[in-house]
Amino acid sequence: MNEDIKKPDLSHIQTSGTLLKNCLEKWFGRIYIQEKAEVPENDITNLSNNNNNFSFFEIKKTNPPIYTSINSLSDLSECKKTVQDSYKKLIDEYGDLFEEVGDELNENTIESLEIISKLLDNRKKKIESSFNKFKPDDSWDIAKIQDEFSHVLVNILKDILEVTSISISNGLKQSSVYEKIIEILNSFYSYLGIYTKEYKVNEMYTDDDLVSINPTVSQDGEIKDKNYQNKIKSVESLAYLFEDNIVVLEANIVVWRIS
Amino acid sequence: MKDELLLGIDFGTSTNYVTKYDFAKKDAVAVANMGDYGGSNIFENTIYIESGSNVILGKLANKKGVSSPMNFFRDIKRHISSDNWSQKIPHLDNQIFTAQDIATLIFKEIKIKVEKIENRPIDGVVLTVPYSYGDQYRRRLRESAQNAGLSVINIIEEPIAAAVSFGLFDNNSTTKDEKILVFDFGGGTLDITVFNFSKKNQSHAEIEVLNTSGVEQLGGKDIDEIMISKFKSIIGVEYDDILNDVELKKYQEVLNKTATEQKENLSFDDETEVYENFDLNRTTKELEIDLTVEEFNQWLKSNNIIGKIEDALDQVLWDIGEDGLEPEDIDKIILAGGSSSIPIINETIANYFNKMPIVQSNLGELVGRGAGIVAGIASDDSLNYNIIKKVNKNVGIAQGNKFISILNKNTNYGVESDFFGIKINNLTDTNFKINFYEGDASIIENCEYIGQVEFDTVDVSSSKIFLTLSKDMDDGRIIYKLYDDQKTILEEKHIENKKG
Repeated sequence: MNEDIKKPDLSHIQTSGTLLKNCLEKWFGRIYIQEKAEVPENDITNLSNNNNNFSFFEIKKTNPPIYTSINSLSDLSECKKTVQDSYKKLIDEYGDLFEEVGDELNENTIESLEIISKLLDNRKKKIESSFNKFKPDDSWDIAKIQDEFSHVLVNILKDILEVTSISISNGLKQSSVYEKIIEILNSFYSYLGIYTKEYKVNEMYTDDDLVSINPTVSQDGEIKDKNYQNKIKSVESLAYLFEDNIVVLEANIVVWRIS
Repeated sequence: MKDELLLGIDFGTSTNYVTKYDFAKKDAVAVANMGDYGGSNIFENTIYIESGSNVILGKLANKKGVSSPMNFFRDIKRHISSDNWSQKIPHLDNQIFTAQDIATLIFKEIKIKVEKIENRPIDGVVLTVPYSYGDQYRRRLRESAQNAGLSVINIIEEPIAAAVSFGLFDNNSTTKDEKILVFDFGGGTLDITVFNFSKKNQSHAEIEVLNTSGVEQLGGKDIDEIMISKFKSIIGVEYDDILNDVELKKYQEVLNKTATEQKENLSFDDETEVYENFDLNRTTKELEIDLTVEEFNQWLKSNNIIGKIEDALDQVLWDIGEDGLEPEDIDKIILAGGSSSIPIINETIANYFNKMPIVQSNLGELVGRGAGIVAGIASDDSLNYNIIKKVNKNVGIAQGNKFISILNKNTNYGVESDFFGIKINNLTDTNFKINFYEGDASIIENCEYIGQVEFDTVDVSSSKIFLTLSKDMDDGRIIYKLYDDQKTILEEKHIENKKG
């Protein structure tokens, strides 16, 4: 008999909640947090089954890479300051959000947000230390300074993206506060000139695409059919880039292994 | 001005670096755009075989290899000396390739790429080899490059290449005569080499290797392991405690990355703040510590890293000449390798020699540059550079299970060993065979087989023949000479690699 009892469809509750949240935010001009209906654990770890999640992460190409603002040696310190200031702004906005909505969050979410906060604070020092270490050689021209400084930025930003992405991806299914956090982070990345690139399941990837892809294989990903060579099996994350050939973080893509 | 294209190729275990000799600058510079995606000119020594006419090197090869691992190879250098390593390559009709064959494919692709970039043919190359690698490797590496259509001018040991690179372009003085110690503290091994470097003027210099030594199992990875072990005890989770493979892999990756980063931070700052978090066994674990240089130094001391370094320095100096050298005999110390900028390593060296070392972190570039210069020296008449090379390992034969050295380590190239007498019975030993080995051990099992000599004794009237060994001045191959009991030469050839 039990088999006949249908499990409640949580997605309806979710949709109603989102509508109510949007209305309240519109009427009262403040942020409301929606704790989402519990999602089965298997789904939390498998973002690839739900490509819609990537829409939250998408950053359009709007600003030029921040390092292209370096046109003389004196611009370098200005560029460093701009990055540090915008990172400080990110931390402030994150703190403001936490203060504004903290009361509405459950214990697990608070704990997770505190961890992200500590990570962000810790990386502030890393930025400072990396910038202090970066000393252009006298023989470098402007193109070389831009190039070398882009490597420094890529190292820093790749790390920030990596350390925050797991908590955020998991949290996104549990509380709408993570959507706000993504907005704050994306605004920071976008300001520095970063944009995202999305790959789709079943698309074929080329050698050029491999620049911004980190291919992996899954345990069930072995196949004999050679037509699956270079076909995307599933997508786990977006690629973050400064330019087509300057990748901040590669997209994690699961590919078929041809046996 | 000559316009020959002469290359230095640092064929490394994990990376390659290609330089070309610039006749105007009298220096070697990187061949541009050999690296991955416009990054460094150093590229990973990996290969993906797409088809008979298309192979891919470096980072792109790594990525293509994920979906087709049978056509992808890394660490080829480690297998070149092996007679037992071969692989079937699906994209080449399942033909079986040895590591030497795959190295040939790598050299062919390097040749194609360089000639396309430079728009002219390559005239000659100098290859680098680790000082400790034996004759078999050198021979096979040379053949690999030759089979790829490259003319091999010379094979040079990595520390010598580094010394050439460093010594020639130190423009502070035009004349000097000094002893230089290169302390290469890399990822997995510590290699120490001592040279005599004499410079008569800007275009005339001489390098002589006095000794080389090191510790095979001591490198940056050992320091990382010490840090990781401390981090794990702070977090309270050991690798064995983790139930999920994905979590374990992530945990290991983050701890490795954190150890490397914090080691680097403590090379610049007195204190570093570490913060990482992990999802382990359904709970969130944090690593949150303020780590000081003093604490870090204490970790290295208590794990005897510093003691091992001091012992290795003692050893390398004691073994030079009859009486050894004293630390004050060394004029200049070059620290190379990723871990050499750690302050306590630096301090240990400075205290040992009572002078400050020069830090040169990227030995790979120094080696590639030196190889390019050596390639140029062969053709540039305005440079008179003499490199006195030494035999890097004892070469000899087996007696029972003992190794008997005939050509001793640190003998100059071209110098013939003492006569070694061998009894023969020319009635039963008509086809006399001698197996040759090299190594520093006294037991034959711990030495490397390098080849066999077959000798027809039919025309030999005496019951004893004499053998000498030497290293060929030109190509570093081992020459054997056989003499009769009157010391009249019977045969002179290179030792060939035949199955023993």
